[in-house]
Amino acid sequence: MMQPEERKAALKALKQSRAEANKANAAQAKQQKKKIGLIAGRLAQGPATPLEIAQDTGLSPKETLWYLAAMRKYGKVNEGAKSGDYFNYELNDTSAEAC
Amino acid sequence: MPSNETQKFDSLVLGGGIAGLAAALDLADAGYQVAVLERDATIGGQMIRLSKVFPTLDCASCITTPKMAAAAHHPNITLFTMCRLEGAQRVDGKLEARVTQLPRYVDPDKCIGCRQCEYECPVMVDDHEQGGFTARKAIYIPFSNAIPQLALIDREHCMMCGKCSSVCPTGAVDQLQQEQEFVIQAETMVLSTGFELMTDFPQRAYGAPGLGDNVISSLQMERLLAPHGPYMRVLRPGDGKEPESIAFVQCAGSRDLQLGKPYCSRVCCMYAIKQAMLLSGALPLADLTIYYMDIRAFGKNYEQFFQNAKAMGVEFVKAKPVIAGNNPDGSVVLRYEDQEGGTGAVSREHDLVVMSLAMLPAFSPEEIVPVSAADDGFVMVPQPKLAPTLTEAAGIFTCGVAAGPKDIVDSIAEAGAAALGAAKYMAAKRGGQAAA
Ligand SMILES: Cc1cc2nc3c(=O)[nH]c(=O)nc-3n(C[C@H](O)[C@H](O)[C@H](O)COP(=O)(O)OP(=O)(O)OC[C@H]3O[C@@H](n4cnc5c(N)ncnc54)[C@H](O)[C@@H]3O)c2cc1C
Ligand code: SF4
Ligand code: SF4
Ligand code: SF4
Repeated sequence: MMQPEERKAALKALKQSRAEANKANAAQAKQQKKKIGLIAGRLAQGPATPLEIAQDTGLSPKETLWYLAAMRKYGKVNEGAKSGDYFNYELNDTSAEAC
Repeated sequence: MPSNETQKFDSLVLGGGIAGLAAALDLADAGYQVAVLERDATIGGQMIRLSKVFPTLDCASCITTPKMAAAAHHPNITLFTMCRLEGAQRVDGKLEARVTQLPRYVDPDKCIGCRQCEYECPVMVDDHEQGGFTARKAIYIPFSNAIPQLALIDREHCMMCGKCSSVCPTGAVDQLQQEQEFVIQAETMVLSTGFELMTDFPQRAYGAPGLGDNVISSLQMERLLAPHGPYMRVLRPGDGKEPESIAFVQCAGSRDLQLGKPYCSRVCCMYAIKQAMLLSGALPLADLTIYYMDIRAFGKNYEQFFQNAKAMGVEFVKAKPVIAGNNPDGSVVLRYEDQEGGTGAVSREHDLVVMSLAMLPAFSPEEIVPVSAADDGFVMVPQPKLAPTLTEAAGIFTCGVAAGPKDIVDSIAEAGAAALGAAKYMAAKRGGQAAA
């Protein structure tokens, strides 16, 4: 069983040894946050289909749907009414901070 | 967490899918002490990931979850998840299995499965439990009925920001966890390691332009059809369109000498028919087409199931199509030789195409356990007719898809036979005594 001080030092060493991977993953998370922000920003203006969101945000339709499904899974987005062959999505709450 | 000492059991079941769980429960009910060793973070195998099952259309999760729970709560069964079998051999008449417990980076004794860490984690990763159609987090619980309900960290994607530790109400996150080695000693072993679908997909056989966003595997379709699927309805993953026309390409990778998989995967005819029937319920207006070479409807009530699908309007076209391209509107072009109509080469477009991919063995026994693989890669059974669960090694049995493609009914029947074989072996060794 490690003492708290020992744990702290071991954790620090682990972080250092993984510095590059941590940095790359943090950069990825930042990108993801930005994209979620774009989608949430679009939805703040009203419900939209994945195609409409993709068009307005510059994301691909596939990526837009991936984020919408994730935002729905984590409670930030709901499915709305259908327009033609596509469903609309709407924000679950109005805060732009999603997931 | 397993201790470093040798842990003793009567039987070791390798693989906690439906076959392994059924064998473990049979042995445990007969009084034997059983270890179930699973490489995944949850037991349940492929069946817990299916939507409904042919031919009864029972909800897969509703019938698998009780089996998983029964194994988890059985006093004679010990579950080991996230474990890698390094090797097993007989030493003084007992099988000794060297096992590595992989780290979860979460203390299983402290985690209460509340998922607060998952909600807080800022890193999103493709959720393979949902066909990659949505995200999970770098710390996650695989799915809502996973057993055990414990979080794990995907180290590859974690950025070590510490948010999970700071929100965890029980202090369960432990980034310092390490691999641990231990030994399981048992008299008998059951290999029930199941299958994976072909992933290095045969582009050569299905056309050069690439498969595109709207060509998916049959297991991905199971997730689209599941009640807790990625979109909670059937949508096209490329853009979210509700598909109006869905096609199934049968024998994709199976029965193909060129690809080195000459065998029939045995279940894909039936599951494609099942998926088409479920789709006709979910999307009553959609056109459903199954491109097939032969229909294998061999089991009890299976032919009736096939006839029902035809009566429901599912179109069966005898052809082996290639993917000829993807249109700008996301539809997929299939091209095939019209064998029955005699009109030569035909092209047809579908919103979504499902590939009924070949089943491949999930585990290669050689150099790990003292049994060999047959030519098709599945566990060798020297007497496939008279003793289909007997391997080359005394006391080592096999069941389910580990021994070759088969459906759930046959997997469970084999599991019973393997359990009985193991029980008989142990009773003989103990001079006719059954479980202690
Ligand atoms: C798309 C699709 C739909 C299907 N639909 C149906 C249906 O409707 N009805 C039906 O009857 N059948 C259906 N099947 C077939 C069904 O999935 C199988 O019959 C069943 O899952 C076989 O169970 P199993 O336990 O043998 O293998 P699996 O379910 O593959 O379980 C094997 C387990 O072993 C584990 N494992 C593998 N290697 C190791 C290792 N080295 N160490 C430790 N653990 C290991 C795996 O992680 C897994 O948990 C379908 C199959 C597919 C692909
Ligand atoms: S690790 Fe902590 S926060 Fe995450 S599920 Fe377990 S108990 Fe909950
Ligand atoms: S430490 Fe890793 S797993 Fe935990 S919240 Fe941060 S990125 Fe997610
Ligand atoms: S079960 Fe049907 S689809 Fe699957 S390989 Fe055999 S014939 Fe082909």
